[in-house]
Amino acid sequence: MYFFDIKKLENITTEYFNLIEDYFGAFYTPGLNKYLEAQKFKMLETAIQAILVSIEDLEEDLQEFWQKNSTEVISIIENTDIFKVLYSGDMSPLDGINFIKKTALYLDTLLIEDPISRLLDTKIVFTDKEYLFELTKHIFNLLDMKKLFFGEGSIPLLVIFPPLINKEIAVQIRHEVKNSSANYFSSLLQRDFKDYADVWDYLKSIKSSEQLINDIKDTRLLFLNEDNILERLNKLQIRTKKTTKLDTTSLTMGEILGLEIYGRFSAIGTQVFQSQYLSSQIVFDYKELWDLYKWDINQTVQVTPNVDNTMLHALQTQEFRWLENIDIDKFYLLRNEDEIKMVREALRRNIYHTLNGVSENHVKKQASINLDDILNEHSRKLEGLSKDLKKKFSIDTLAFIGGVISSVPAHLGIVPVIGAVSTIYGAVDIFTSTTKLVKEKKRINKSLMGVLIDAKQRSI
Amino acid sequence: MLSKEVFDAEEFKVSLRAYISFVSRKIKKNPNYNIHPIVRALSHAMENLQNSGKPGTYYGLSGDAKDNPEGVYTQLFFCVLAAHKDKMISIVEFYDLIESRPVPIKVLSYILVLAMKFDKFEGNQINIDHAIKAINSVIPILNCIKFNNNEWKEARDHFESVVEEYKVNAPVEHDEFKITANEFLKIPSNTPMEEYPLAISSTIEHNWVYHEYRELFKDNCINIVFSSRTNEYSKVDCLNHVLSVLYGAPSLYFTSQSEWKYFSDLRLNEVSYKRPSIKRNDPCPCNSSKKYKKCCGR
Repeated sequence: MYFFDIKKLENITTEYFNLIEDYFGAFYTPGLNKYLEAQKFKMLETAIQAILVSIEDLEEDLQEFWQKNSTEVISIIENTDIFKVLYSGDMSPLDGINFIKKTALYLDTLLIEDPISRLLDTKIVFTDKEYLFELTKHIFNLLDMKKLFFGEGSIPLLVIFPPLINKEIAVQIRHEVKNSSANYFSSLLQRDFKDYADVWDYLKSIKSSEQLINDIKDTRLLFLNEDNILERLNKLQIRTKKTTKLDTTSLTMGEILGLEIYGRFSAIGTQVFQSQYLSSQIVFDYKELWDLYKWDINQTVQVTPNVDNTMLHALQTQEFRWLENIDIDKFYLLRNEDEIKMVREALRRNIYHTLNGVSENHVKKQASINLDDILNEHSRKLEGLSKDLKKKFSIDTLAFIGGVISSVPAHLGIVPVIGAVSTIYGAVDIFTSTTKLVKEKKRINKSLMGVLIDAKQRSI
Repeated sequence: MLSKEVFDAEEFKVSLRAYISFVSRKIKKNPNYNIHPIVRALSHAMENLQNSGKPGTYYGLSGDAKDNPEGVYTQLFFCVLAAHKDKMISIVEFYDLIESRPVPIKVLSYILVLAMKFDKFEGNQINIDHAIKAINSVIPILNCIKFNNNEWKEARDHFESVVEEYKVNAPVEHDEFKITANEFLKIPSNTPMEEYPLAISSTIEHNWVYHEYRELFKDNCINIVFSSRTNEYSKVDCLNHVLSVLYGAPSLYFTSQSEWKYFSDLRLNEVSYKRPSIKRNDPCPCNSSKKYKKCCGR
């Protein structure tokens, strides 16, 4: 990405943030918990209405903004040769900076589809309370991460892009989503369905969570990421009924699961399309989505996710939890394309795409070993430099003091100049060589590696 | 658990922020945008405080005389702020000088939301259906029902039959209805709807809607039959009408529904929380000029 492009992108991002601050700046206080703040609004019935009325023009203003800027943003993203990754999961990474810390080690830029445009589309489905809750949470999240959208001359870590799906593509995606959903339920329920409508007819007949569990042949395929499936299904039922303003009273448990799975496939389909369009990799921040994505591509094209996608997923697992200790300000200041590329290459050492695809476990283990290796290598280098520095300091100081002592009588005797000159040379030598060592030590300390070493030490 | 007045005040704070953010965007597009007198009164009080910069009590007054061709006030609000020594600022009271009553905190939030909702429709007038929809969606204790002008004749005839029946079976204590009934009987039956005094026509309309469309009336709500000779209604009049029902003279009939809290309640509450403990030898707070231990503290 050229400097000129970065500047253009940052100007557009500034305009985007000005727009959302115009609407939400009055409610946002930096440092406050976004969930609690959004939750607080949920309790204030009249204030909810006040906010909703006051932001009614947001949709129009945002559409106008993207009409003016989308071509530019898409073209910059498309034509750049950096390592870009498209975010998929919630509307924005709600784990916020912690999610970014864990993935930023491997990518140059994380692309996030404008969450506000996406949320505005949900207005017809969500209740007012839920809609405002989601909107506030994600807008506050963007404002929390605002500085990461500006690289100050370097590539920004985060980039907002406009929705790329037009009506025609939406129809295609919907078609694929229906196929995937039908295949999924065929596998889950071990039944042959004629078509998607047939799936719905069957799902309608599954009235309760208990009946659903009885009908499912392999509950692992539910990808619900929870041990107690019954409890999880009941929660799903309550959430669906509570958050939507559509008439959900007659929905059976089967239909609720159908809606949930359709929604997930739809999110996957949309984001995979967008990532391909922008020639980027994809990262999911929900294990449930990642599992469904893996299942889907395995079923449809018999492949596993590629190394990069698997690595990005691995970095979010427990093994790499310590990455949350990274000082994001330092990290952001020190990161550059070359260093990230070096870390990326180091992380990928001994990880290959074999005929059997990519093993998730192998990627996780090997990446952890690789990262430890590079950190140890740098730690050793750092220790070595410290030792050298100590040694050099004691030896050279002795020589220097010796030089001064010997120069005193010489100074009083016949050849005072020689002694004084040698003393000066000694001092210059100490100064230059020590400065070199100190500089090298500082360089490592103040490099991306230094930040990582710090983060790792803090986790011990 | 927050007390009702603290909760209402929190709600007003958020609504006010929403309104100010809304208005700032409007002013960017139109510098002459008309801000609601409530917010203007608050902003005048804030200006006075900023100019002085000292702790004390500050006032702000704002009305709509400038916006009316006759130069008459139909809205006039007075705001009192207190600036404390610890640099905290609190609202002491909002007062409606037209209704001669303090404005309940919750109603202040309603006004701001309605002002924004009405603003979506251009001009000074609002379609009666839009107004009713907005009011009912914002104020849960109000249930506005529109009277259909085409049913005026039936409504009038029905009221006549009620009055006739009243003559036969009237309970002695129903003086108010007696006055209305007598007034009604003086009006010739062929008088057009527009020429009826407002008090009589609204009674006729209310009576008709209650008789014919009782299912539209809600329990635990203030049910109001809204009528307008034309389809358009002045926004300010509409809002004033609502305010009058909520905390003006008519509100005395509906106190069980409203249970309003005022900024003065909040302040009293605050003071009571902050009241320092009285020592035994301090002067008694009842102003008896005795020591506390020898008076109320005995």
